[in-house]
Amino acid sequence: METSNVIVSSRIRLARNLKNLPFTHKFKDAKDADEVISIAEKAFNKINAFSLYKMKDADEIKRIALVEKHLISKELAANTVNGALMLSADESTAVMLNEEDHFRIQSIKRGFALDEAYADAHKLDIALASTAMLAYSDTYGYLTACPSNVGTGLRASVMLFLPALTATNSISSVIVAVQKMGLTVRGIFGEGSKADGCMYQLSNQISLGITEEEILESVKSVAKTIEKSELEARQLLLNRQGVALKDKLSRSYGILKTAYVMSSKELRELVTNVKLAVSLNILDVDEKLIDEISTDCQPANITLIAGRNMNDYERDVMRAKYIREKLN
Amino acid sequence: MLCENCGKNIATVHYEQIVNGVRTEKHLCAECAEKLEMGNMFFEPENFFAPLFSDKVARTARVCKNCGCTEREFIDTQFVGCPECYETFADLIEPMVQRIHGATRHKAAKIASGDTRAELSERDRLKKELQDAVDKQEYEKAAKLRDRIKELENGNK
Repeated sequence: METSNVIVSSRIRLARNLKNLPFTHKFKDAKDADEVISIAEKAFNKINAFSLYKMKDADEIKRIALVEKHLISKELAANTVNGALMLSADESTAVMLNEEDHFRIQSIKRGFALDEAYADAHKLDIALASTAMLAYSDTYGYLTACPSNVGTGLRASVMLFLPALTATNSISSVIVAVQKMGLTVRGIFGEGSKADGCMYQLSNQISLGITEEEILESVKSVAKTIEKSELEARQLLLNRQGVALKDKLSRSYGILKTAYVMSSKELRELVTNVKLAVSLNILDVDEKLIDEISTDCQPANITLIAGRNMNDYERDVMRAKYIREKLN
Repeated sequence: MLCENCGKNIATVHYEQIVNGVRTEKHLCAECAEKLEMGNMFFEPENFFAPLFSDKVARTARVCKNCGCTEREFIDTQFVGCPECYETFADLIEPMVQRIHGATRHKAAKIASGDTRAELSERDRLKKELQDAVDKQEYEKAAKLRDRIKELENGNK
C-alpha cells in the first residue's frame, strides 16, 4: 500500500504560559489578557502573516465554524471575554490565546506528517520564548494551568480513519492496547468506541518525564501499527463481503451525487463508505474533494457558505445542493 | 497509673489512637471510661477529631501568596492559579503528577550543543534584550545582560 487514507492528519499542540502572570482563569482584569495578546502579536506577526481574531468580535456562527474545523476548542469559542486566536493565512498554524493556558500553539498537516507539524510549532515556540519569559521550572518543565500538561506541554495527535476496525468491533481492544503506552484513542464524533464517521484521534496523554522526540516516536509508531491493522481488516472485509461490499459503497457515492436533502449524520456515513471504496480501488474519486466537502458541510460552515441563517431542514437542502454542485 | 480523667482510680482501660500519623494515648479507670462512652471506641468527640481538624484547617488555609489560589480551589478544580502555585502546593502536586505522568521530573531534550531548549530560548531572549539596550545606548544595562549571557554559556556546561 503506497499512501493509505488511514492517517488523515497530524497535529501538534504546545501549551505555554507567561512567567509573570497568573493563569487565565485567575486573571485580575482585561490588562492581563491584553498583555498575552500583545506578546503574541509581537512574537508571531513576523513569522507568518497571522491574523488576530478576538472571540468577542466574532459572531457565534463564525466561532462554531472554527471549532468545526478543529482550529479552536469549544472552550475558546465560548470565551467571549478575553479569548483570541492567531491564525495563519493557510490555516495550518494557529495559536489559541487565553484559553486554559495563555498560549496554545497548534500546527496541523494533512496525512502522516508529525515531524513537519512539530517543526512548524517549534518555530513559533522559539519565537515566543525569545519575546517573553515563559513559566518554566527545572522540576516540572513548562508550567501549565493543569498539571496534566506540564513538562514538554506537548500533545501530538493523529486523526485516523478506521472503518474496518469499527465494523469488526475492534476499536475497544485498540484503546486498551494504546493505554499501556501512555497514549489514548477517542472517537471524534460521538462517544466511546463506536464512532460515527469512523474518525478517531490518537494522542499522547503523558507529557512529563519524556522528551518531545520520545513522544513523537511513540505516537508515530503506534499510528503505523494501527494503520497496518486497519488495512488488513479492510482486505478481510473485502474478501468476506466481495460484491455486496462493492455495491453498498458504490451506492453511497450515487446518493451523494444526486440527493436533494442531506443531514450531517447521513453525510458522515456516506463519506465513510466513499473513502473506504477509494482505498479499496472500488471507486476512482478525488478524496481530497470529499474531505473538503465533509468540512464545508458541517452546520456552522455550511451556514457561512450560504451566507444566511437557516433552520435544520434548509441546511440539509443547502448541504445537498452544495455537494451536487461539487461532484457533478 | 492513675486515671487521667478523675485522678483517683487506677487506670485499667488503655486507648491508643493514631490519626494522620499523630499518636495519642488515654488511660482511664472503668467508671470514667464508661462515662466517656469508651465502649464506642470514641474519645470525647472534640478530642478525637481535634488532631484531624487542626491539621486539616491548617492545611486548607494554605493560599498562594502570588495569585490567591487556595488549597481548596486546587483540590476541587485540579487547576493551579499561577506558576508559583507549583511551589506553594508542591506536596500535593507531586503525587498528582506521579499519578498522571508516571514521573515527577521534566526530561529536557538536549540539542547538539549540550543545551536544553529552555536554556537556548533564554539565551536568545537575553541576546535580543542586549541588542535593544545597545540600540537605546543603555550601556550599563547592556553590560549586565552580556555578563548574564556569558554566565549561562559557561555555567551550564
